[in-house]
Amino acid sequence: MTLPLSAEKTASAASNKLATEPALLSINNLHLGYGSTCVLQNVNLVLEKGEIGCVLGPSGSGKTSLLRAIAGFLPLQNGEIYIYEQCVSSATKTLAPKQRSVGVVFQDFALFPHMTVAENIAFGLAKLDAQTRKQRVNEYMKITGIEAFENVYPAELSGGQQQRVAIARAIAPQPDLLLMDEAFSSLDPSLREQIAQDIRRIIKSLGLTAILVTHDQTEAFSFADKIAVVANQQLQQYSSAYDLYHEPETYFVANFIGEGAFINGVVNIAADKAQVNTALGVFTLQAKQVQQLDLVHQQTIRVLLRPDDLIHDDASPTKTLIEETNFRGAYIRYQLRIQSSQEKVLCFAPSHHNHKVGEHFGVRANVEHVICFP
Amino acid sequence: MFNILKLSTWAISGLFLVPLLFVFSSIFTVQFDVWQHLASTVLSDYVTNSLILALSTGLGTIFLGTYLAWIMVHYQFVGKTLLQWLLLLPLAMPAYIIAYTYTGLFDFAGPFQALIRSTFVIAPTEHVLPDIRNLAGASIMMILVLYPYVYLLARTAFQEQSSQYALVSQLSGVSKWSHFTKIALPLARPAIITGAALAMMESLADYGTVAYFGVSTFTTGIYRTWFGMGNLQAASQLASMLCVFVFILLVLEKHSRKHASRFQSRQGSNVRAKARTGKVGAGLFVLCLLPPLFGFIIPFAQLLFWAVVYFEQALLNDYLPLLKTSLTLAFISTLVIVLCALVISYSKRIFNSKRLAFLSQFVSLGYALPGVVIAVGVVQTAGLIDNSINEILLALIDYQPGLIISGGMGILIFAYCVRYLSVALHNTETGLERIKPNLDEVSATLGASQIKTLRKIHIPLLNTSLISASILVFVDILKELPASLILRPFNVNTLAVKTFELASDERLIDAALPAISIVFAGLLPIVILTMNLEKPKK
Repeated sequence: MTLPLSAEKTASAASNKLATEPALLSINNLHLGYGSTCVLQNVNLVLEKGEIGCVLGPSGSGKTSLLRAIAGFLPLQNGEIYIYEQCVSSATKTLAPKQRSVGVVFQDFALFPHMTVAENIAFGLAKLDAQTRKQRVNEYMKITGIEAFENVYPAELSGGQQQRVAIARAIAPQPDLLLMDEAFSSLDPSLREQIAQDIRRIIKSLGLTAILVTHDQTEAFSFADKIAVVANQQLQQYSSAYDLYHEPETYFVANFIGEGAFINGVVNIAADKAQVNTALGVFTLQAKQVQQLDLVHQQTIRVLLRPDDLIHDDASPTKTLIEETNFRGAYIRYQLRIQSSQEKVLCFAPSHHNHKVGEHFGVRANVEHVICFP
Repeated sequence: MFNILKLSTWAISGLFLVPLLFVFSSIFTVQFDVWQHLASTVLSDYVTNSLILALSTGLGTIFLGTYLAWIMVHYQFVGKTLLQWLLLLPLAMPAYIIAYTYTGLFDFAGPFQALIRSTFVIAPTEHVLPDIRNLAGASIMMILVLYPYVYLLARTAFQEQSSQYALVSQLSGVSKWSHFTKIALPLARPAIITGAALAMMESLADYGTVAYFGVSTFTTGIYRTWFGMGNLQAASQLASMLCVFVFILLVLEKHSRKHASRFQSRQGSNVRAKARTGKVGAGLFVLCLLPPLFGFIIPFAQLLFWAVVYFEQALLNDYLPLLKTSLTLAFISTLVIVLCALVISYSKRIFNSKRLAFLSQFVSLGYALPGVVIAVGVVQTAGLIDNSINEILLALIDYQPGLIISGGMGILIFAYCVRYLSVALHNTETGLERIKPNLDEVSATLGASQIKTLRKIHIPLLNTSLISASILVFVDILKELPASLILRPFNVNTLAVKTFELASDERLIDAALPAISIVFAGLLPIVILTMNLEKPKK
């Protein structure tokens, strides 16, 4: 729906939309930092009610700082954060966490070790009367499937169970927004995906709005509706997983998401069409790309090749040297060096084509949509 | 609420800082005539005796502590569980108490000489045992009660060395002895030196033992200059010089501690103790039994014997008020100290300020300083406060209340606070550190106020830290001798002071009851310590 990269875009996207309900979370031109160190700058993003967003980035990219700013633990240097239409953070004010309707789940869950599961969940329900509180606790224990552990202390639970308690505690007060900081990272890898799916189902069934912070792309892909990639102090791209993979907007995203390699190409602009000449052949560029990237004739650019863009074809005149093989069951990932240009590329081939390092084979490019960067 | 917290933190730390500043500042106000007098008379004695005492304590504790730790970590033998307890018991025995107990034991009429005389038929005029009331004797007493410092730290260091190091050595064809000297010992060295530095600081701070043995050191010198010559200034100068020695050790300790943490890895599997039975097992047991035998069991048995066999109603009449004073004083001081520590460490956590962290570290220096030195600083501070109160009140309402602080129990409590705040602080700080900031944040998002978080989350989770802080401080105060001796108001006696006075009057047997009370109290923290140490790690 909205794919804002700049403040103007957000504004236009918002005005284009027939505004029935304001966005649950909108972040405008946010700047974050500690003292003179800048952590994030110029971040704009919008999350609608019921969406699950994800902040994805390498460690140290400032993704957790962004989450802490949304929760109200970290003041902004510039910009604003709105929950519905209320400004909760700006350069001059930071509404206390308890005054904004957010729930937080931390990586280590931060369960209160001296309270039972039920007491943990009831902690945020102090305003309710005892009867309603009890009902609410039971309701959320049931939703998260932990009724059996009502009177158990956190230390006696497994990681997955602890996480359910942490989620139940965070959502029991029925916050507008659920924030999850690396919430699956401390779980056993074999359970992680299943638990993430279970939690996603709970969030969706309750119609909750949530943001997950993670460094793990597979987790982000399977959990979130929209993903914000954060790196080098910038919001690199905010879109669906499909678009991140197939239409990366920055070099960083192209490199960071999925597998791939870049080869050089020379732009050739004629009157009717634009092309790029590479060691693997000539690919057609879209007019939109030429315009957006300000490409000029004879300019050298970097072209992204995903491993599935290359096809193993012994008839092809393009020969490559196998430098590394990586057996993955159904297929093998080959790391190849193109003989003519000495450039490195990746290629998936069915695993019955078993070649050894040092051998040669031919490849052919099958690129439907060229992704390139200056 | 935040401002009150911050204000009280600064006020408390500031108040406790003044005595330390008084002592340090006298380094810069050197009185040449006093130094000249001291230098030409007793100074060289103070310096050499103190240094010899500290160095021999250091070497002795390193030797005992290291071999005990090595055996206890690497071997499994009959009686080891018992030794795990026994080895720490000397910590409960203050050096001045063991000193006077051994004096009684080695006495002409004591059990050792009597035994030797009757066995070998020696003329009663001959002294069969060497006199222990000298520098060498004092050093041995120190080593016997202070070796657990090295033992505890070396033990952890050896324990955390990965067993794979030994495998690597074996694979490289290195002998067991070279593995010990080239790998295990160098890796444990920072920990061992940390322990030795702590033991040396204790020996420099000791007053009771050296005073009782008539050895001239800095602490006895400060006391003598102050009360003998009546020269507080000169005492203060000596105190500052002693501080220099202590600081050298303190720097050594901090430095080694940093190294120690770098050398200790939690990776790899820990050393597994090898079982030893038969003669070897028995030999190891005896070897490990010797230090606690002489450091605790024998003197404890002697004290118990004196206290029980020579028990009289008259002694009890003297003892009960003594116990009451001691316990009341320790109780009040503990309450004040733990509360102050909680305020400081809590505001350190909330405000996360570098200045506060530095301040709390500086206030913690009190523990490193000898009680005599603290007394010097506290007297000057209290005097200053009293004088100002009197001057102000005189000007305002023409009334002089007198020495409110210096003349009463207040000064003693003040001194205990300066000295033992860091013990409590250490506990409350590690306790608070263990409560992850995430918990505060979750609590905040769940709508809890700062006060509710303190009440519902922090205090319940801090419970154990607060209890252990209280016990440690309480027992330390019960044992404290030099500051109590100097600062107590007239007619106020604590168990430690009375023990020392009776022992100094050669009423060794009468001193046994208060002495053994102190030892029993001292066992309390060791029970806690051992239970923590032997708890299977999760």
